[in-house]
Amino acid sequence: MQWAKRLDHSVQKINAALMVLACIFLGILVVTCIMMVLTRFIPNFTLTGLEEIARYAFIFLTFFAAGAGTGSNAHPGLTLLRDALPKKGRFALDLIVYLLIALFGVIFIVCGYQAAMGVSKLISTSWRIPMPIIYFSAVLGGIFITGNTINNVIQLIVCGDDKRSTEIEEVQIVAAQQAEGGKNK
Amino acid sequence: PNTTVESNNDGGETSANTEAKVFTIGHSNPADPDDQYHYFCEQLNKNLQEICDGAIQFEIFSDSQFGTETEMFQAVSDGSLDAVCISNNIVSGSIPQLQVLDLPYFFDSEDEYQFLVDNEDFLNEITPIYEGTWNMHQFAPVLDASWRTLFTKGKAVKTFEDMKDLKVRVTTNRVHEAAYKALGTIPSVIAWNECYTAFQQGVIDGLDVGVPIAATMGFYEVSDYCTRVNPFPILCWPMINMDVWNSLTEEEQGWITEAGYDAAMAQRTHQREMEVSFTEMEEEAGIEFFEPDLTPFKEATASVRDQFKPEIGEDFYTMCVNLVEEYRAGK
Amino acid sequence: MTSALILFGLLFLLLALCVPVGYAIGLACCGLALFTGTCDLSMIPAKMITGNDSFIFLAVPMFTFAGYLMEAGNITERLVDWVNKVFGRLPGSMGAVAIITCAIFAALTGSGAATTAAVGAIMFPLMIKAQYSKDASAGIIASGAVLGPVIPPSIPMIIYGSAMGVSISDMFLGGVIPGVLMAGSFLLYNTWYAIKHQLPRSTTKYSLYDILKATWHSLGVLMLPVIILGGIYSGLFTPTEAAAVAIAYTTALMIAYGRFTFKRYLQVMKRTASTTGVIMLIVALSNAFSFLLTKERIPSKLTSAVVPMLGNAYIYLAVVIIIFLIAGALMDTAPALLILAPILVPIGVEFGLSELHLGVLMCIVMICGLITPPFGLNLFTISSTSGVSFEQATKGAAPMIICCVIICILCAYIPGLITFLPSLVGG
Ligand code: NA
Ligand code: NA
Repeated sequence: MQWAKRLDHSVQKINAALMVLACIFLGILVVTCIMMVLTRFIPNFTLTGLEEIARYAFIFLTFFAAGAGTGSNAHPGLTLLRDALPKKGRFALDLIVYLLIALFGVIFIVCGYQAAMGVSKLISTSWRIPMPIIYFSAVLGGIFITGNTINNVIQLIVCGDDKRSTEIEEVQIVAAQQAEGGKNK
Repeated sequence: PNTTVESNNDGGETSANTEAKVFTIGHSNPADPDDQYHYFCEQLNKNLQEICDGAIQFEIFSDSQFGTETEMFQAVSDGSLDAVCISNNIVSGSIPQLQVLDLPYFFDSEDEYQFLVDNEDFLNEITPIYEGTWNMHQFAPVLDASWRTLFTKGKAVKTFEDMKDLKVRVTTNRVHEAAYKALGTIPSVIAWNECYTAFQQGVIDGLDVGVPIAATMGFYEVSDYCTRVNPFPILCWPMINMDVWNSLTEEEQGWITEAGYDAAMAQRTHQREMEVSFTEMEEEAGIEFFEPDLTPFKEATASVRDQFKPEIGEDFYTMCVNLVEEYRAGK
Repeated sequence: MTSALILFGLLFLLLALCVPVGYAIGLACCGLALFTGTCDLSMIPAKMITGNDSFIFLAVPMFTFAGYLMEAGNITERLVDWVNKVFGRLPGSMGAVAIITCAIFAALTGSGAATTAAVGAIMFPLMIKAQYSKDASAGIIASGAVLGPVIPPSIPMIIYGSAMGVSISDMFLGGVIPGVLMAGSFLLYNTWYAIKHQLPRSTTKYSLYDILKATWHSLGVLMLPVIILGGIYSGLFTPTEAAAVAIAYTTALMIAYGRFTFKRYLQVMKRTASTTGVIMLIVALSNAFSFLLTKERIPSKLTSAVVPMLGNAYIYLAVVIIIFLIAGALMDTAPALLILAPILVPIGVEFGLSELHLGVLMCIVMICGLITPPFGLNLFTISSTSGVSFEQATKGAAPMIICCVIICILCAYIPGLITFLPSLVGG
């Protein structure tokens, strides 16, 4: 029990760190796009290749945030069947869903690695970045997804912590309340 | 490849030959019978029909259905797409030697670039890279889609000075970007899908495209002027995956080579005719054409050659220069 | 056809099992790739990367970011104050103020939930005070917020346009008339409601000076749509660039209004990042999905099978509306668009319909799903911010759901409602 709680604690810490990294990528994306507008309107101020930085920051942002989001079940889905099931049925269904997500995560890691190796000779147009570096974001995304899902399974089985009860509506409520909280502070 | 022919709704002629080997071929242009890349693909199928009764067929994926040109290049390399017609300015991102064909004002006439891309010494340098590094085989001579011109809206470019601070949409090719910067313009990043609207609304003043693609993509509808700046030719490589190629018998390879050669030659002739008729059509639509004195353009971009010489490789660059000069002298 | 059956069979099975949409799409792709063996599984991550490697998509996180910044920047209060002083004397004034505020807020943001949260927090108590029932207040605000993604900018339209190769600027313009019609029909319903329930009319009269003062006070906010939309349509920026400008501008507003703290800013960034992660994972996987569709020739096979069955464009459009209303009732906007559009659009094109018309139509029908049960994001959001139950909010929104459906039907059969403005700018 205790170890499972500690594990969850560490996983959430990692997720928080991932979100900070995602924010950094978001920052890079926004700053480069603003600079790009400036280069078009200020003569003699030309920087090329900004667009490429923004695109790649965006790709990393997506996979990092999507990976961290798996931990909090932020990814929406239908809930009709789950809502109709009794508690035991929910447990079984959640387990199945988690295993499917973990399966996808593993496929993602393996195939992401293959994809990265497949482009081992490609380099980006502007900054000549080896493309496997960009493709590696998918592998990382797969690792985050799988890791979080394994933790969710452990929490479900060991602690009976029914994380998926935070269904879409509730996730949405939390988001809205956060927005509220942010406003009233 | 698929071994059975399924019904094809895209208007492509498929053979009744049920034993036919069908390969996929992709390109990024519209499925317009007069489009330069599409014409070649259809011609290829027509020739194969005659040569081997359609025992080999290509299923055409036009309009970037298979992804961007960069994606298609990768797809042919790893075999998820069998063949592709791919623009040189995209391939040169991966094969730096080919940037020589992207250099501004490297060629004075169509004959010159056609001579170079067909030249044995030139191909002896390029083929091993295609085959060794990229696992693909060139199955037909390089296609020719003429020069890149500058379509503008509102602002006419009659002389070199008019280029100053013009916002021009350029392909994501470093040589092209450098060339347009050297010409005094502001190269702008606009996605291909957004080009038409961005140009129409004046987000950009100019589009760096060929006369034929301006016709088939409809850019001429929203332009006022076309200046024959002609800095770079539009060249296109017909490539097939090496494993697919090696899986064919020598006889089958021969069919493709013959059909490909004839189709490419027909494409070059067709391209000359279309260049003329598209120009007429665009002039009738109210576009004014300018042919400025290119001397200041050439001077302004001379430094771009030196800038990319190290990437292209000094020896290879010199060889290309010599070949072109020999050709000029011989003429 | 077997490949189509496997792909969709797997997809719907996984969705029914409550697998999150993104993973369901991904697993269905893996299943088909394994079954047909025509392509390697490594194609899926590769297509995800190349799909998201698009300059246009950068507008999604940036418009989301700008929207959240406006929410955190407390600009709604200023907006409500202005709308109240200008339009406050209409019958059913508070409802009208809520709807008009939503419409203006819609011109600032691209998402429905953001509009609901921002407008709902302030307008809900005011509407209750003006003797609106709880159901009606929640319903009117949730429905008004449907305008968020219909009136440009619009995140569903960016995603659709980029995935299907339609110009986003054109799609944005196409949404203007449907958005105005929706707002108009909501206002009509609101007036009818106010008269039927004999709501007291506002008697406060504002002098021109008051109105000018309120205008000055909220000028920073009112200028934003002018900058974003004016910038796009006067040819100053592309949609992506406009999104970047919107962020710079809202950040400046936040500072000017004394609402800027690093902590708050970082919070907004985190929210943006997590929304982006959720949406773009689905978009990325949809790229692999539509690649498989193309590779298996599923759209063209379906087209040849379905076109003779449907017979003509009128029946086709009716089918499209029904399918999207059902999808919208069950699913989030973006994934449903990305799954259905690549299959349904080629059929419509075969019937001679324009891609722009179909694109905007599909987007607005899907967006109506924000207020249709059982999965209605705006309804969830309003019930959480106001404490009204989901069922009550749904009941309150019901008349406006009917308004939305009627307008969707009008837009389907009178293409000019969508294509007129884009053609005008294009002329
Ligand atoms: Na909007
Ligand atoms: Na719904």
